[in-house]
Amino acid sequence: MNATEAALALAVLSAAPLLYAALGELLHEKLGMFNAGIEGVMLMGGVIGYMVAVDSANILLGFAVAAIAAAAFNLLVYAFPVLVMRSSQILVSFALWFIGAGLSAQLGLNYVSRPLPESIGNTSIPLLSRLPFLGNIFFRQPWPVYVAVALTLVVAFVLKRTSHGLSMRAIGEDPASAHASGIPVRAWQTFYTGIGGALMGIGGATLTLVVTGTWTSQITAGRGFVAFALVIFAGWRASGLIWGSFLFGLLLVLGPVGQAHGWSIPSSILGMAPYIFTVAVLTFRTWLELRRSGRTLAPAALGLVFVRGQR
Amino acid sequence: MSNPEHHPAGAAPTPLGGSEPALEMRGIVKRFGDYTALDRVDFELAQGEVHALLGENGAGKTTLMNVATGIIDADAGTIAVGGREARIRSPRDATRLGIGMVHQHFRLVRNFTVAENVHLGLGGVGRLVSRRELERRTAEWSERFGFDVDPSARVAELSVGQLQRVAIMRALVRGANILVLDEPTAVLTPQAASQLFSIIRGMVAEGRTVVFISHKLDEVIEIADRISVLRGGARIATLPKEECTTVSLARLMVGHEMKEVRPRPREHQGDPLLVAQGLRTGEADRRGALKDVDVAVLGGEILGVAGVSGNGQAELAQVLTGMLKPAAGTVRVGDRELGGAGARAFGKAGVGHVPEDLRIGLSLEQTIEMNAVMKVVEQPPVRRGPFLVRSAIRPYARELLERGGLAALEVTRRAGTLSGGQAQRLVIQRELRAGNRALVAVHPSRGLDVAATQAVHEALLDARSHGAGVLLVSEDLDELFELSDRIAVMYEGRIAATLERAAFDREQVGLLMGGGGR
Ligand SMILES: Nc1ncnc2c1ncn2[C@@H]1O[C@H](COP(=O)(O)OP(=O)(O)OP(=O)(O)O)[C@@H](O)[C@H]1O
Ligand SMILES: [Mg+2]
Repeated sequence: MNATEAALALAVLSAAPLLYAALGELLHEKLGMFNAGIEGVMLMGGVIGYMVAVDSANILLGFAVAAIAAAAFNLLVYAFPVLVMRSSQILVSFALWFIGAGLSAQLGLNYVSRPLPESIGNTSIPLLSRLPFLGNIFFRQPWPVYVAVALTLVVAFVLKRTSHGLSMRAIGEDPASAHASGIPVRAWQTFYTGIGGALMGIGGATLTLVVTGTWTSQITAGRGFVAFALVIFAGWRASGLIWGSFLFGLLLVLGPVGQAHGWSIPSSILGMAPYIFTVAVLTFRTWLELRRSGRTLAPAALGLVFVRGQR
Repeated sequence: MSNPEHHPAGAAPTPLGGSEPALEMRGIVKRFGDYTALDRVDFELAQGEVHALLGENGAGKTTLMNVATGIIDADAGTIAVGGREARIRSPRDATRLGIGMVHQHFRLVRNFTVAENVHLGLGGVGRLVSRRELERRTAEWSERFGFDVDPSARVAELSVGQLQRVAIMRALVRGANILVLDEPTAVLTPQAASQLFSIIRGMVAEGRTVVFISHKLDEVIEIADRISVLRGGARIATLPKEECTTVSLARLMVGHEMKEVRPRPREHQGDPLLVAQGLRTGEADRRGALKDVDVAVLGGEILGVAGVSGNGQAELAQVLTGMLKPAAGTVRVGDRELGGAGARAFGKAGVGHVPEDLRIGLSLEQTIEMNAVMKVVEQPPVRRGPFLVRSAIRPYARELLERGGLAALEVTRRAGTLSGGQAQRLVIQRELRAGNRALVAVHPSRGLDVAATQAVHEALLDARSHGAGVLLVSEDLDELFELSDRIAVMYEGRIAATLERAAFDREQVGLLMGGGGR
């Protein structure tokens, strides 16, 4: 594996946490909910996964507990105020972010310098991993990378090709009509905030258990925010998340790679690349789409509150 | 399909015990805040009947049926279906009990295609769907029911008449045992309405039960077996149709005799006020796209526009009010060229617009009073210098509501909570005010009760007397014949002919609407 291949493989690896988190966010937004607190949920998943993996010496268990804990955290701190108490999705999102950040830092205090007892090796995909160039980049990765892509494809398929997916999208487009056609709007929104939270948590755990193999507070360093932009970048299409996450992953590794190769651009500037790109996406993506097709790709009822019995 | 409940227009239901009522609502009470919308209403549906539900705008018809279909919960009362006590807490419960509804405002997902809307909530979880398959099935159904709609069209692009057909088809496909139709014919042409009636008769022959809400009394007498009348949230009568005439029903609804609107001959004919030449819009292959349309609305006249929905009337109205930019052609208001300008410029030039889609006319999340003043926020007394005069808003809104017979409404309510007819009244009053030069009114009496329809007709005639030019788009030929001085008939995006009042002839107009004649 040469240096370029190694850098690109690292980019693919760094994409995995983003992909999980963005997939979780997509499930929120497709059902009309706007959750900007991804970062908080990722941190909770990241720290709890790490703690469990260290204490039990079982990484798989770490992932499982991270998923469950993050789902519970998201349901309690996001879904309950938003879906039951009808609080503002924006305010609640930010509370989710800050609570997750603070709580995870507290929980993980004693784990900062403790190493993981085992690490996940790379799994080579038969045949494909022997492809020149591509094989080294895409097909010699730890399994959570493959799972992220597979789950995204599953979600894409469900959304696009099943009647369940049609109903999910209807909730985000027009919850009152969805409700009138017999879809239990609130129950599904609750269910998918749970699933979405679990995915964000798995994203965080992938970061601590696979990508870095360490825990420090605020380890996500804005990745939740990047994932948020990724959903917009992908035009709310699950399949678009996959290559979008690779692109963002590439930007994420620019800093470390530049440093290793002694590029003349300061690595602090390179390190800003993903965030600058994120801001650019947030600014221009919708504008471009509006100019192209005259409408936005966002679910029409994104961020609106649906209260049964009003019309 | 395996689930019989989802079988499109499936096997006829077996009557339960024969004499049990299909649906029995007892003592239904519904309050919105302090306002009692339903006051201990009893309502009973016999198996296999068509039961019409009548009442003025705001009488509580939609609310009562929303309770029956689980859209909202009642505050008190019981419901039995087929003689058995039922808890209906959601539309899903209602569907399970075989109750379906076509909503007054359709409740279709705008960004979905017709096919997707028809299938929404229909299949079981996890059932695979492909776009092509959905569209094929939808095309089949639409043929079976005789509704001419394109399954792949996005709902947001359809005219209200087409939306109505999609909504009806959606309900029919579900094969409900009890079907509630909330003003299904409000924007249907007579032909489409009679098609719907034969579908209804077919359903009843299979033992199904239909609730039919309408303000068109002759239709009600034609289709209904029994008729119930609501007034102010209470049921005041249920009669077999043999005992009813349009006159007696109107009296029951309003509580007093109605006087008739007498068509008045036009008093004077002014200069052209709203003139368009060579209009073209959008993709030329779409049926509704305008193709070289010239119109001139004169001051002091009502120009009627007839046509089967989707033949360009909606586009014409949109272009003449600045909602849609024409691809080619000019639009003049008075002597001002306004071709490329937006809706705001048209409003300022004195063109009022009663749009066909209320969701465009009203801002549903805003209060009623803000909606009332929406068009005058840049004028005194609502605006003084750069400031909005809060204290001027309420009196202005109140006065507007009073003219629309809505004086009793709380002006701080969300506009989204208005009944269908109340919303329409609000828009009309506001636009009559704004449109001192010209008024483009699309289905202005849609969803209005008898009294309100008369009031609107009077108002249109008054606007004409004051020298305004009125463009009246309607699918109701009676209305057009009664009010118009001239009628332009549209077919496939062109004006097929313009008839003078002396030459009005039903048959001729009917032919022209279908692309024949001349
Ligand atoms: N959410 C709500 N909040 C307050 N008032 C409401 C609400 N929903 C309905 N109302 C009021 O309840 C009354 C009954 O409304 P409903 O929609 O049942 O009338 P309707 O008989 O269907 O009239 P229309 O013929 O105009 O459709 C109206 O006065 C309406 O303004
Ligand atoms: Mg109604």
